[in-house]
Amino acid sequence: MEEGKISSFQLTRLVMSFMMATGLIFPPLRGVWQDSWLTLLFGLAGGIVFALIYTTLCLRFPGQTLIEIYETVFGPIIGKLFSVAFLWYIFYLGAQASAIFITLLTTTVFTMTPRYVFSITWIIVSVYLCKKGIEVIARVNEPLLLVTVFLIVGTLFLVLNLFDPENFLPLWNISLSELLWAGFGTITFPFGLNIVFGLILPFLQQREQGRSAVIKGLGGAALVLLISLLITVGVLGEVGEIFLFPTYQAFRMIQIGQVLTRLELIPTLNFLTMGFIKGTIALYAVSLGTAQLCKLLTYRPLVFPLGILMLIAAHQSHPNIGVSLEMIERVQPFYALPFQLLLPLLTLLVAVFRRLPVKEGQT
Amino acid sequence: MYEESMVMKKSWIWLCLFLLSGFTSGCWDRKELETLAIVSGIGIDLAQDGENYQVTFQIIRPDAVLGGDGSAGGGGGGSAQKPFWALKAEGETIFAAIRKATFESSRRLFLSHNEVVIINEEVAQKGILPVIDFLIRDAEPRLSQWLLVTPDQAGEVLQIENKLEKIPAAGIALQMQNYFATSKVRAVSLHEFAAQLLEKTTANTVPVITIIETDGEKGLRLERTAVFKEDKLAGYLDQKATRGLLWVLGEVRGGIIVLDLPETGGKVGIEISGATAKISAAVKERPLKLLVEINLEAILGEKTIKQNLVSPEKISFQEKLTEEAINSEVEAALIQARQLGADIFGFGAYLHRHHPKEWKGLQHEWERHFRQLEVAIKAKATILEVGLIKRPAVPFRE
Amino acid sequence: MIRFLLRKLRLARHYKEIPTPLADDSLQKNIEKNIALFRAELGESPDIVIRRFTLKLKKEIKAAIIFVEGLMDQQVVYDCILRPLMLEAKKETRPVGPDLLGFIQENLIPAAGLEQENRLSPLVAALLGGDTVLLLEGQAAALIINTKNRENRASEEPDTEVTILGPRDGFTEDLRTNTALLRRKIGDPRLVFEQMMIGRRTRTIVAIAYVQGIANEKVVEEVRARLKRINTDMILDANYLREFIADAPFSPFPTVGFTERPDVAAARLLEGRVAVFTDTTPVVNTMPALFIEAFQNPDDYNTHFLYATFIRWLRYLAFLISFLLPALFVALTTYHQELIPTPLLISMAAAVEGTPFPMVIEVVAMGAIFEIIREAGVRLARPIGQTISIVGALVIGEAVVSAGLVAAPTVIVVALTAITSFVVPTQQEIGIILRLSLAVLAGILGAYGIILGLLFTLSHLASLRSFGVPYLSPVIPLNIGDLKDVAVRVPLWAMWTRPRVIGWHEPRRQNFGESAPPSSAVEGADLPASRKSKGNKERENLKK
Repeated sequence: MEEGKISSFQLTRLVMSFMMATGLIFPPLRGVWQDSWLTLLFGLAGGIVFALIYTTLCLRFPGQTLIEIYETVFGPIIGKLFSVAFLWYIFYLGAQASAIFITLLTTTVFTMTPRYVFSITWIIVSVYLCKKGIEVIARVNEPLLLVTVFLIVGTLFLVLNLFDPENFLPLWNISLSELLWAGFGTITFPFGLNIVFGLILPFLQQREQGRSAVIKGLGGAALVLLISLLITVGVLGEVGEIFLFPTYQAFRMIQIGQVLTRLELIPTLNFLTMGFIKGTIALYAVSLGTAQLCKLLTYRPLVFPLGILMLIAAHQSHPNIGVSLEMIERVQPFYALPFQLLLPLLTLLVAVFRRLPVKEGQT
Repeated sequence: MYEESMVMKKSWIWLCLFLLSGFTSGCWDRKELETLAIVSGIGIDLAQDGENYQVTFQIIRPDAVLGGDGSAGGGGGGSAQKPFWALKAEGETIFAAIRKATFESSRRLFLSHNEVVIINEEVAQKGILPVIDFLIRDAEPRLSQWLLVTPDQAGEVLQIENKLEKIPAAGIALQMQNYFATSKVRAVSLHEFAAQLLEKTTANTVPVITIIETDGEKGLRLERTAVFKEDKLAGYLDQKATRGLLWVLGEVRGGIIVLDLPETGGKVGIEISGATAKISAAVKERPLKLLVEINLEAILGEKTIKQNLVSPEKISFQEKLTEEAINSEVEAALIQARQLGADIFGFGAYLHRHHPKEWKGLQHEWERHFRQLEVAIKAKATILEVGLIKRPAVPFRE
Repeated sequence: MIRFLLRKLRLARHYKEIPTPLADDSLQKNIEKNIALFRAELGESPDIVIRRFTLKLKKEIKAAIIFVEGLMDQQVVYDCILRPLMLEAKKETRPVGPDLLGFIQENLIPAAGLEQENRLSPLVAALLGGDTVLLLEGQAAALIINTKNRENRASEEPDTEVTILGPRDGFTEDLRTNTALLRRKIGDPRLVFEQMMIGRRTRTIVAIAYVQGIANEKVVEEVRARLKRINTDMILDANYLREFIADAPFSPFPTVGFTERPDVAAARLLEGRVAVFTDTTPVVNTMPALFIEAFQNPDDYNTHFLYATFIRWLRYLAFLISFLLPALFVALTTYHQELIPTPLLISMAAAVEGTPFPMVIEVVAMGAIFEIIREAGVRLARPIGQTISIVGALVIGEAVVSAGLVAAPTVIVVALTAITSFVVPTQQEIGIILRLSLAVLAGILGAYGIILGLLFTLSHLASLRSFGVPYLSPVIPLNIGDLKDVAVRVPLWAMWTRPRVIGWHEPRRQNFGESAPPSSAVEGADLPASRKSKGNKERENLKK
């Protein structure tokens, strides 16, 4: 199925990229501008709880992906049903990632070019990378993530002349219900998305480090997102709320002398690479999961057709950015919850109840 | 081995697909340099009918900018082309006007390098939200371009040649950036304007540019400041009040304060080297009481009398006079702002940020509260340096 | 169609071996028959010399020596064979036993290399290698006498890898000279050469060299296996081997390294790599190869480390410029003009005014013209080559701009690209491919095209391995310890481990800190204990 192995540090970085990617262009602001750092921490805590549940599952069934675990726990029919639903969710995530990032391109830089040009070329490279296996994906991710982190941290210095601490006032200007709703949204998107790594954990060199690797990745992603929030809120102030892509807008504001200005293309392309990694991980997970579902020997023949399907889904389910925003802000929290929380939790409970997995010498 | 060549085979197919999709997709966004008309300034007037907008674009002629120094010295224009072209177009909206400009222009208008947006008074009185919406929404124009208001025709402003710069709009932009030489102009970018529009109570201020005529040649001068309530022009602040505004905002970075010495009738120029402002509020009291503390660091720049002024007592006396001058400037700004009922200082935003609970009760009737607001000014000036000479270049006599 | 082509290619690679005839090729007792055997095998070529003479030892014996004119050393043949056998044998008084050949071998021929052989094919092989064969009447065996001509072009500094400081010797076309050059650099007796013959017709001698104990046995075994698998009829150059044993045969990136310098080869062997010498070529293949090798110049280790680090960064920058600049230029001038500062945009717009072609075509065409000029300059004789570059660079560049065919900035960009591409000569071939394809992509999709191209390249590079070692290591996957010779060049006394991906077998070059210059030893007179313990700790970690 997959011969490659990744180290736990590589997994950490994969988790970081996956969590950050969409968060960078749609920062988890959710209408609570000054207090978004609070919802971010809220989301991080929730994400860690989610991660604890499914990593417990993966540790309980060593060497098995979530797909295989569902089948072991629920039996072939119900297990497969759950798996199909779960795979559909991941498939949807991949489609969403590519749709959002291509929208970023078509609204900011390439306003005249049709979207399919970008999505086709995007999917081709993504499929190429996907076929190389998780090891190569992890390796490609390394420099891309490094560049992103450097860029975000470096920007913190570039925007110092625009930065206004007053923009963070008033603090605590948020009611509990608002906080809960925004925090709930932030948990499911982006932090809850790490459920995808339930399909990748078995390919870890040091399997017992999987949990800490995922949690470290969540923490790292939260840190980078926090910095990007700091930049966005500090630079734009409340006017940021009117922009579709606040982070992009913040980068547009950079102006140091006459030369270091109009640099927004660079972060845009850089975020694009993050989105590319996210889409590729999702594509990989779907292909792998489908192959395991159908008991294939290799996932590679599935990558290309699934990639094409993902492309079509990206166009169908995200005809415009308004739909994507509505999805992320209102529908997704409820749509994602069963897959991110309920299903793993249920599986864990059933597994404990049925005393699975059966250990040798115990029966 | 077999595996490997399978993989290679696939990658060839991808490569072909990749290139094919590229070539077949054509090049929608491609814009060769020679097909671009680089716009450096936009002027917006009302058209004759009073409904549509007349938009003037100042377009750069690259080869004239680079090669056209033949006539620049002569000043008569002569046979050489002007380095810019002012193109006028009318339209129901700004975007429509831009597209209509292509009727007259052989090239596509390129707005990314635009530096100034000049808005006519009448347009400003009607409200400029329809004007700036396009400039914010579209990906091409920058948010860092300067916003100006003119009582003259904006189209005419954009046609006046700058004496030093080849591109007049760039000249205007540089004029704006020099505001700290006097601190009597408040330069406002599109982003700042939009950000303040969003804060419901803060009134925007925009510098005013007018056409002047000296020795038969036309030129441009920055003077006064236009005050917007929401997006509509409400009135003007004079230069004194403009600096008063900048004192409160803490944006004064330079300039000269001229003091009249009471006894000798001489004048002293105090050069500002830096100032900060701090606002605090007593929110419980009605009417609201605000305290603005202004801290100034200054240099003795010049004086017109023979007496030596470099002694501790004299310096502290001058500091006191400076403080009074600041007070009167801020007072002027306050008076004019109260008359307009426009919170140009952002006091409302301050209360919103630092006293959110009290602000909830105030925000609905903020204009009334603002008019009644009691503002105490506490200026503190420190003269740090006296220049290179200790005493005036006259024989010492006391 | 591609599938068809690839299948053909695969078939060609695995074609059945053409069986060599000669079922039984033992020599006979009759010398004339033996000579006839040789004649039959070698033909009547005039360079095959058969010299008959009579050997007088008690009785007269017909004898003959066979050699290939030019391959053997005249002096050795005269001194070691003809003189002793024809002139000095008469004076021989010792009794000759039944083993005539053995007697001659032991007592008469004072040559360094001597061997008895009774089958024809090894004899012919030796003959063609420059040895001389001695045939005697009544003996069903022959003597192979080593008379190889070691005369060769003198070892001189290779043109491709020039250093400012450092040794001036380079490998030559002769295998033995090359191995000797390497032996002189590495005195360790555990430097091992393994020889084999590859190429059915060229019968090229190939030698695998490695340092036992440092090189990874698995890599050596893999090299051996891959070399043995080669079944072709000619190996004329090191690149022939390289193409047969490379991990990714279709990849434009070299996954086998090569050098012409003994010092570079020695350094690589001592890092744990394996070298493959090919006779008749001065180029030595080394493996595993890393991408980063292209940026490690021998001069880096011959100059001060700070300067070396600085130069290395310049090299990275130059490499980036060499393949990215044309693409960036195209993307900026045709898609993202907003990124160009206004004054620069105005002057570029003025320069571009009136040129007939789109920017992509200008850049790609000028790039291609430059490559043509370069190729012409390389192929022609040196003096003419220089004329070509002057004509090409100055006349064409100047004329093209003043005629308004191409904008001046394009010429600047192409020229800059050309110069930077020479900074990293070993990656030049990829540079050309990458540069042109990225420029085309940039022309189609702007910066997005560049990013896609880069992602594609990165994916490809990240998936490459060279003899089991990730090609991009130690950068990807990241190994912070190994960046000591990548991101910077640390002082040699601090470079106390070999690169971990290659030399992890015996990672330690010297003990940590022990070999630091004396100044620190004095200052830290009471320190060694702690320092040593740290070194020990690291060592223990490594052992794990």
